Amino acid sequence: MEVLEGRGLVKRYPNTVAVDGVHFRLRKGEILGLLGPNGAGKSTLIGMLSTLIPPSEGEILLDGIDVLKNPNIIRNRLGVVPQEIALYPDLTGEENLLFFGRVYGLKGKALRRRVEEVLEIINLTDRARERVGRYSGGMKRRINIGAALLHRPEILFMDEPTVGIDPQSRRLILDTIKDLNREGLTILYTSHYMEEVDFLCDRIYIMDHGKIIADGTKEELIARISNEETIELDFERNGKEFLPALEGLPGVHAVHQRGAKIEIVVEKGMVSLGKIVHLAENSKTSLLSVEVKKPTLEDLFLHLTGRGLRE
Amino acid sequence: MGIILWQRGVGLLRNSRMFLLMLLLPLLFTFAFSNMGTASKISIPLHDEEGSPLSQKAVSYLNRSSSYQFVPVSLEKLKVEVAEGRAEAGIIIPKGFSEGMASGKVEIQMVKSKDSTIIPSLQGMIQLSLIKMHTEQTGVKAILHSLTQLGLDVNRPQVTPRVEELLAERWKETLPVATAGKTAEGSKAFRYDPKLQSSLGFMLFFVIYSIIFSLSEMLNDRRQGIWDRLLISPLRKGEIYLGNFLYSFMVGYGQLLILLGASRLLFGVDWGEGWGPILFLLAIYTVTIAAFGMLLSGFVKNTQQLNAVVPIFAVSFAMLGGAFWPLEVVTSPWLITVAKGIPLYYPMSAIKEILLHQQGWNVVWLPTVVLLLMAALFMGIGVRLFERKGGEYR
Repeated sequence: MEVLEGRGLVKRYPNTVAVDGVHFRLRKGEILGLLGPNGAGKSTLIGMLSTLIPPSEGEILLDGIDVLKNPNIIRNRLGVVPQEIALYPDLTGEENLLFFGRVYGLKGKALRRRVEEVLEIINLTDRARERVGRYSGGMKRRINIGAALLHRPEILFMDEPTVGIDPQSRRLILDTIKDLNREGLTILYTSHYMEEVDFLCDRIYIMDHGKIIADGTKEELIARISNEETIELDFERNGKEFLPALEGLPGVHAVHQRGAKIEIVVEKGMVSLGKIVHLAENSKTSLLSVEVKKPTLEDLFLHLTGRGLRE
Repeated sequence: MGIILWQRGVGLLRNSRMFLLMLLLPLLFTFAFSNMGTASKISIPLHDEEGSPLSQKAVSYLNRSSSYQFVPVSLEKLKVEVAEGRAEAGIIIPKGFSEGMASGKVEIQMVKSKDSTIIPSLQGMIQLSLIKMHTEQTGVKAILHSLTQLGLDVNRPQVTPRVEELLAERWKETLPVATAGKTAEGSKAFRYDPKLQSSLGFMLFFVIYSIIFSLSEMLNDRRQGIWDRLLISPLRKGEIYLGNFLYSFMVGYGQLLILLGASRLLFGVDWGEGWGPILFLLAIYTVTIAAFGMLLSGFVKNTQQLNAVVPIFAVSFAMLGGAFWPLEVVTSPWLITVAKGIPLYYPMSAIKEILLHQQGWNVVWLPTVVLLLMAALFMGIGVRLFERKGGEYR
């Protein structure tokens, strides 16, 4: 059952269209992944859904009620974890939580109790009385999440909540998100990290140039390119004619070069490794390694957009 | 709104250096400009042609002025100084001064530059000083005569100075201290109290920094994404703005109140008895500067840019609005007109009116209306621009 729905959402700025006719559905109890490179329109879409940015066109419905006409109906039910560390560095972790709790109308003992609970959820009880400015990157990210949980939201938007932190903290955050979801929280999760989306999300939207270009479960999405495989080449020296020659091979769908690496998306079984090695020799390219990879979300993304997620 | 104030208050306590600096600096400047001897007095060259004990006494009477310093020079030098514009006027005590004093017809000659604006005030001050001297001398003579009649020996050397001293002390309590009256044109004479000028001027100048910097927390919030976080919370936008505005007002007004008290205690600045109109004007001024801070915050992208533009505006306001020097010495009508567009001009001139010309609430209303109109304009444009800039951040 859809808890939140966006219909025909458009956001135009003077020189660009950031979101271009997006239809969006968030189902109760799911973790929905929103994938896309920088500038794809993910944050603008989240901004519109959270009532921060008024859409140029379209409507947003929460349980069938128009959010744009009644923004307050979503504000008490929604928690947003922004991409930035949106906290006061001069306040302690606990004071930040008290602040945001009061912003959401919590008071007195109930507020204190909830702050303690949230500190436990994000595993920061021991460091709660230190100023946020002195926290490590991972701790700041956790408090940033905690501040969005205080009012027990039903829906949580998380806009790249693990950017720039160590693997241990990332793991802790991902586990926390899983636990929150198990307890019934509906989550919209955006990330650059394919493995996070892979680990967390029940469904995925892939967004590029302001549009949703694919959606479905991970399996459904990968099935779209199951008749393809990716061959990855590492090279030391690259001849001028090598890339055009690869593109000219029958069965080759796409060739992408990233530094000293070339990825070739080919139709399954149509291109032999021998042919590729032969082309390399002819174009004076010295290869270091050749690997055939199983299709991943990253490959799907590359296939759909022609660029990597972090480009 | 209360929660915004709480957060800002905790932040201020943890980063109070700027606030303390803005308290300290106006006091230091007031001390430097009003308590460093005669540095802030207007220097007037004086030539004593008579050179009698009475004419020398007259010079000492003149030098009791808190506004002017009379410096004895040769006649030649006096004329050169005035001609070259180094002095606005020069005073010559002519021969026959003592006889004139005895007969009650004293003539003091004045050499003045064409554009001088201090002449009415200077004339008034000289006139009052000489009247005071004449009255005191007459009084001393009368007392000494009475004592002689009573058979007391008044020829002992310490008697006359002691009588003069006692009489002066007595009259200090009863005579008016003000040194000016009406000029021939009927306009109010220029009165200058260096302590009041520097204390009020620097207070109004430095508080601009405190008010606008406290409002710049909004820019930090916007940069850090906290502003957006608040916008999507159940808090109303008006509450968020009002909380920030109120905090800024409290910081600025608090600073002004502390400085009022401190300048009175430390430097003896006389803020008069009727505090009501002064406190009211300062509150309105604080609101206007906070609104101006909102306008600047709407124009700039971040606190760094704000930090760069605030001194430009603050110093310009102080220079044009009469905080650094009395506007009565400004001769350009154009600059006087510009001053009326500066918020600082209104409390500065109205408070000086209240204190130096013994005015009350009657001089408060017009500045209040002008300042509130300015505040509404600044606030309206500032909020609109701030909202638009916020959109650019997303």
